Amino acid sequence: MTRARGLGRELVQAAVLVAAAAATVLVLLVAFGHDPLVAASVLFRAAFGTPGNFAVTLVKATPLLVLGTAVAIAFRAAVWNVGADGQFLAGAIAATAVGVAAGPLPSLVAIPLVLAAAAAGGALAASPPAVLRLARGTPEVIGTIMMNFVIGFLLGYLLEEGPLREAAGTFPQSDPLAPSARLPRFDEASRLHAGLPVAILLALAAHLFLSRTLGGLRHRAAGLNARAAEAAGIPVRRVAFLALLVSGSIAGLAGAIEVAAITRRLFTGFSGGIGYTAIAVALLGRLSIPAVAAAALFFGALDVGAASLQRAAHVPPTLALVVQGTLLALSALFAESGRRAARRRAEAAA
Amino acid sequence: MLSLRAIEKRFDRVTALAGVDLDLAAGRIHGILGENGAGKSTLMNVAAGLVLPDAGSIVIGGAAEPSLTPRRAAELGVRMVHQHFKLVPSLTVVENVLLARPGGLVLDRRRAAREIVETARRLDLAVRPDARVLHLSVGERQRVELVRALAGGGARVLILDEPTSCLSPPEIGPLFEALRALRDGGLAVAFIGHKLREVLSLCDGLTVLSRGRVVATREDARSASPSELAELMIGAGAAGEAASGAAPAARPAGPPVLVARDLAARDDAGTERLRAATFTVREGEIYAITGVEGNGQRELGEVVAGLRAPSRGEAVVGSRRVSGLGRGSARDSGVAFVPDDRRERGLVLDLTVEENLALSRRAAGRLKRLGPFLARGALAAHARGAVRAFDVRSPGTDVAAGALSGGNQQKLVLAREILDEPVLLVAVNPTSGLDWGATRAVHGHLLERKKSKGAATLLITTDLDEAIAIGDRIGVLFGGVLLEAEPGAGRDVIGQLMTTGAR
Repeated sequence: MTRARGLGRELVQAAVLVAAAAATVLVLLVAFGHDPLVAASVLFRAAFGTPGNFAVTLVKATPLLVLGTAVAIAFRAAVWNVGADGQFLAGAIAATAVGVAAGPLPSLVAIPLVLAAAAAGGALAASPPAVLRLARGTPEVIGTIMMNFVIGFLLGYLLEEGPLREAAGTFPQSDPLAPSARLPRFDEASRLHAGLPVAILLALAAHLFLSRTLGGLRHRAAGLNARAAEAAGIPVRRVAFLALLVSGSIAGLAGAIEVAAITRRLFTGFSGGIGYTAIAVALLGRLSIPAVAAAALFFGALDVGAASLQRAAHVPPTLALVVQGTLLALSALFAESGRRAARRRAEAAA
Repeated sequence: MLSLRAIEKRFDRVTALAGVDLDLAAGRIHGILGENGAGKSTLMNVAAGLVLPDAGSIVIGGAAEPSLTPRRAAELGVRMVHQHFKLVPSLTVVENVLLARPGGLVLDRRRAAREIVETARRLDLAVRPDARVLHLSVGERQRVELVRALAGGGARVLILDEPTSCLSPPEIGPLFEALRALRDGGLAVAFIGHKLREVLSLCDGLTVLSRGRVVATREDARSASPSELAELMIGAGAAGEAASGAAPAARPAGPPVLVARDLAARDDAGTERLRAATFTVREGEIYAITGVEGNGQRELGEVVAGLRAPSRGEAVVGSRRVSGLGRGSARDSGVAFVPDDRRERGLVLDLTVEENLALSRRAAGRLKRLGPFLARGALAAHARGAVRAFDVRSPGTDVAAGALSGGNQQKLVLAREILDEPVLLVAVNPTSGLDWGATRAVHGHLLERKKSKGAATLLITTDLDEAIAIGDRIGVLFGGVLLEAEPGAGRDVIGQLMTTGAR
């Protein structure tokens, strides 16, 4: 199998995937009496039609890109971090705690401080499952998903009766971040903000790490075949431990970006389950960072488009969820059949 | 009760069985002997309907069964206890027994539990029906397999595939008692083994297989002589040259590289496979340790490579301990490792040839880098050099290692490990499954390393011919205990050591 042929197969699969999802949606639209062409054009225009609309799509895609990168980094090391949601929240909590109190500091100090706090918060949220896996071999799937609940409830406590509750004490939300701690917006209408270049840099760094460094090679080797990596002398358990902490800190950064650029304060239900959507983004992107970026953009566009579909064509916005679900199911199917085919080829060759 | 006639079976290019006859009679225990790869398990899988032969006939209870399926075989009363247990660890004993039953909508746990207890009592074996399998020891699991094969009645033929390989000596006695009781009850029993003493003490008749052919059949096992059988099993190996082989003569000793003192280790299931291995590997020699599969070789290789912590003893290279400190530490101390499963452990098949070669620390340390980034050109150049030096036939260095043939995969592993310039190379079954040409190439690389560099190699192999062909000294692992073969010992003597543990 050469690289070129491998890439060709991936492209064909992606095309089949999108076509199958489109067909599913088409059937649904027709079944419920909508005009699919109208719906498609509304969706496309809402997401990409004008520079302003596209900016909104980018704003929606930004946290998905960061979180998708976080999930992909972990999954590439065969570390099944399903706790991005909690790590996102932990990052947002740390960013808020620092950001609200950062009033006297200039932006050049406050913003890096907020981001660093968020990364530390995310890593902290990932550390109990990481330590449990390192020390006891406890499956991180269990640890990370449980932490989502722990941190969700922690957020409720902090905002309802804890130290992050707003001074006015009216709603279960925090005070706004100090102006100097907020990420600057380039455009107030779309809220396009400085988090986007940060997200792109992060994704680029992750991509270069995985594809071009020795550490990235060891990371991938540990994920693809832990036994062989171990026999070659790679400290597989340590790699997995670090992968989970790094993944958590990237997810935490996503929380800081959302709170410092978009909402500017923390409230209950802040994540809205975005950490779970990020798993779908990472899987749809086959854990390859450039493809994860494309998947994040696609999910962002669906999110924006679905809202206007309801306004313009009275198509229920849950349609976007149907598309996401269909894509995910199909991509899981492809991944499995791809693995089987690869195994067959390898066996035939041997 | 069960007759196999002229059974033939090929797997791709490998002939597993080439015209084998076998008869199992009611009320008799028939032993099936042979080296690894002789075709014993394949033959038994044919009898149990798990493998469809390419040619030959199967007759069970007087009726020909041209297309035997596992279900049909079970209906006819052919039951098998596999070497690697087929139990679901998270289920209880009763549930595992019910799993093996055909049909039925409602699970009758109580009846099954009663049958289990009755069967166990009949065999005088202790089995707890409600225990979860994962909480049971290996010996207990085997009793569950045995009871599962027999519970509910209807069994006429019982096949056991190397049932003693996972047992400790005290567990073997009760198993044999149970098997004798079953025989006296009229069951036809087939017992696959490779320890001569066990087979001779238990079986009424026996068949010796070698390379897919029957080389001897004895109706009365007691009339067979152990040394003759050992020669039949091992000696028939590589026809011709084989019988003349012998351990090399004594030679002047270099300074010691690896010193192993009283090593013992458990396998993943907790059975102590390696019991006592004390030996030295010296500069400029290949020390070959041979033995029948499952006698502690794999564990020994892993302990010396730093992958498995020993339960006792230590291995020292130079002045540094290598056992029990992890693979990375052992590698830093200069121990390279060629594991016996190149596909699962030697290579990451989804990575490219270049990437697999860069996995070892030293290779990676020498590669040119631009800041934190690997220089792609250096990676490719390193790989091209390695591929050329070790004659790895590959369409390119940027193809997945999984696309290479088995022989070329093995050469790739060797290239990575030898290019690390280790003080000690540990190679476990480096030529298993390879054709003649690839085997020669692998041997050539091992010999070349010794000759040109004066380096030390620990070769652990189940292939006695390989040990004799390239080993400078030969040790034998039997029941986890390392016995040193005398310099110049004949292959008949070593073969007897491998199968009986006695000189």
